[in-house]
Parts: sequence; structure tokens; C-alpha cells
Amino acid sequence: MTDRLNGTHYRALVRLSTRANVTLAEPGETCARVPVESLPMLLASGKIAPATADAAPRDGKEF
Amino acid sequence: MALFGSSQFGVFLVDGYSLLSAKLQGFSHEVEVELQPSEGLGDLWRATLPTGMRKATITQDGAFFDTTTSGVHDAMKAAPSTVRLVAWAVAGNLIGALFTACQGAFSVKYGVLSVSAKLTKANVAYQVTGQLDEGVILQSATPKTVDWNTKTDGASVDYTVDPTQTVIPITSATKANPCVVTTTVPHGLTTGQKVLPSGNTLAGPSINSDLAVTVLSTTTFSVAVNTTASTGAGTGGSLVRSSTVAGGVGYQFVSAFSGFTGFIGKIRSSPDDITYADLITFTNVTTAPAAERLTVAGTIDRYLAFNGDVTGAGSITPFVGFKRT
Repeated sequence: MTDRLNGTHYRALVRLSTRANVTLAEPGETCARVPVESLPMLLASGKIAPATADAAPRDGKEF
Repeated sequence: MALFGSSQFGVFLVDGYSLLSAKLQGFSHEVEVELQPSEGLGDLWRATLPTGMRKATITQDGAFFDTTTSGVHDAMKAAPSTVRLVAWAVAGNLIGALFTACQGAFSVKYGVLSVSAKLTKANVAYQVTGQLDEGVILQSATPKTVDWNTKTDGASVDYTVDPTQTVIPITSATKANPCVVTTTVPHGLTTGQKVLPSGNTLAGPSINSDLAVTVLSTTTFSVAVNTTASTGAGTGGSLVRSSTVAGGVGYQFVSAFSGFTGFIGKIRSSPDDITYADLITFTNVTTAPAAERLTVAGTIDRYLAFNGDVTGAGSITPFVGFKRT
């Protein structure tokens, strides 16, 4: 479960940044630097996608 | 109910020209529904049916006729057939306040009025082509001299406190997994959209937080919260939307620009106010007046912020607004 929280399993579909506009991920890059707590909401709103089929959400409970 | 006075009329921009400096005496925008006669043989009374079309017009009255650069004549001397981007704000030049803009407007009538013993004035009538967009201001018309970020400046916009939001009363929330919420009136939500309930009595756990919905009917939806440990069903409270799913449109106007060699404005959005995603990046601006309207599709998250990146040294006066579709 913990491993699946890893942002490296997701890639950014748009540029992601901090509140201060520091880049966390450019489009296509993995989300390794994206705060873990942001991943579910970013996934739900279509800003990130699973990098591999294995990282795809299952029943919405992977987080 | 909020009322607004003439002193709160904060912004009137036409293609980046700020025309408030011309001391307008009046402004109006009207929206008409077009009707078609529908009576026929045997009918005694005139009848009409809506065609489904709407038409918007804008008029400005009593501005001082001014031939200086960026004055009203400079803005209006172009051919009347010029399509313009127009924006105005009757509720103040404040981040988070309402603004209205139009997709395009023809300045169909430009009249100069000279009266004995009075300053000459200029009136303009616009015919809008396309729709009116009513949204919120993300960057007020304020001079800037360095890069800025409305989020770190403490002025990002939270959709849950948007003055245009409709507050939907909650009738009940079930003790179940998933929890099913019933609203008193049709909720108008779409599956995947997020809501922020408040004041509902359900506990163990509460549903009073940012949640995505799965629509079940016009007045019911479920949220991925297991409330089976609750002592009973929840009642009362209300909700507002915390995201929208049908895209939006951003407007950027630059009414003053000096010294800098470039300016790039960017609207960012965030579902949690922690991580932001680029939403709209406007074209690099190198002169004023300038105006641009850009659309974006998909989910628009709860928080919106504007980022301004300038190149060189100088001063700029931008105005930015966003309307959720």
C-alpha cells in the first residue's frame, strides 16, 4: 500500500507547482516531487495519470 | 443581498484601454431573449415563442472626449466593425469580486457630443457577438513592478466562497457505505464533481469535507465515505460545489506597460491548495493596450491563483478574470 503512494507511479499531464510556483513536475515527468497527499485529488481532476498500468487506481482505494 | 454603488464600479476595459479615466457618467449592459411570432389563422391574440437565441448590448455614456494616448478617442477611432474584448466590474476592483466580459463586441456606434459651455463628451454603443461571461477577478487592475503570485500574496480565490455559488440544502445523509446524500432541491451535479458539505449532523465520520460525488438522481448522490459506524443518519446542513467539470474561460487585459520587455500571465488551479497545476498561459505581452481571451476544457479545481512573470524593469497594469463554464 505504501509503495503505491509513490509519486513515481504517476506522470504529470500539465505542469505542477507549489504555492510559490516552484515546478514540481513538467508534463510527462513523474510526480516524485509532488506531495503524496495531493496525488488522489490531482488524479481525480485529471492533472496526473498512472505512469504504468500497474499503478492504475483500483476501486478508488489505492490511497 | 449585495448592493453596489457607482463608486464600486471598478473596471471598464475595452481591448486593454481603461476607459474609467474618461469619467463615464453611465454604463449599461442588457441581455435580450429573442422571440418569434407564433400566432396563426384563427388566433385572436398575438403570441410569441423563444427562439433560444439571446442578444447582449453594452452602452457607455458621458465619457469626456479625450484624444490623448489610450484615451477614449484612441480606443474608439478604429473602424466600427472592429471586434473588441470588453470587461467591466460593478462590484469593485478586487480579487474575488465579480466581473463580466464578452467574447467579442462590435463598437457599432461612436458619437461625440459637443454642448455650449461644456466639455465635449463621447458615447459608445457595442453589439456583443457571442456570449457574456460572468466570473471572478483573479488579478485586480493594479500596477505591478516585479514578478508576483496571488497565492503567496495571500489572494488566491476559493470557489467555495464564490458569490455566484448556489447553496444547496441537504435533507439527509445515510448511515451506509457509501454514504448517500439527499438534497432538498435538484443539485445539478455531475459524477466526479466535488462538493463541500457543511453543517450536516452525520458523525463517525463526518461528511463535512471536500468530497467527489457519484450522481444517483437529480436529488441524490453518493460520496466515498463509510458512515456505517455512525449512530444514525445525518440531517441538515448544506453544500456548495468545490470544483466544476465543464472548463472555463480566462481573460487578461493589460492597460499600461512600460519598461519591461515581456510579461507572461498564468492562471493556476489546485484541488487542495497545496499543489497547483497550470490552467491557462496567456501570450507574452510586449506592449499595451493588450487583451486576450482563452478557453480551457475539463475539470476546474477549487482554488485559482494568478502568476505574473515580467522581464526587465518597468511597470505594468494587468487585469485578469476567470469564468467557470
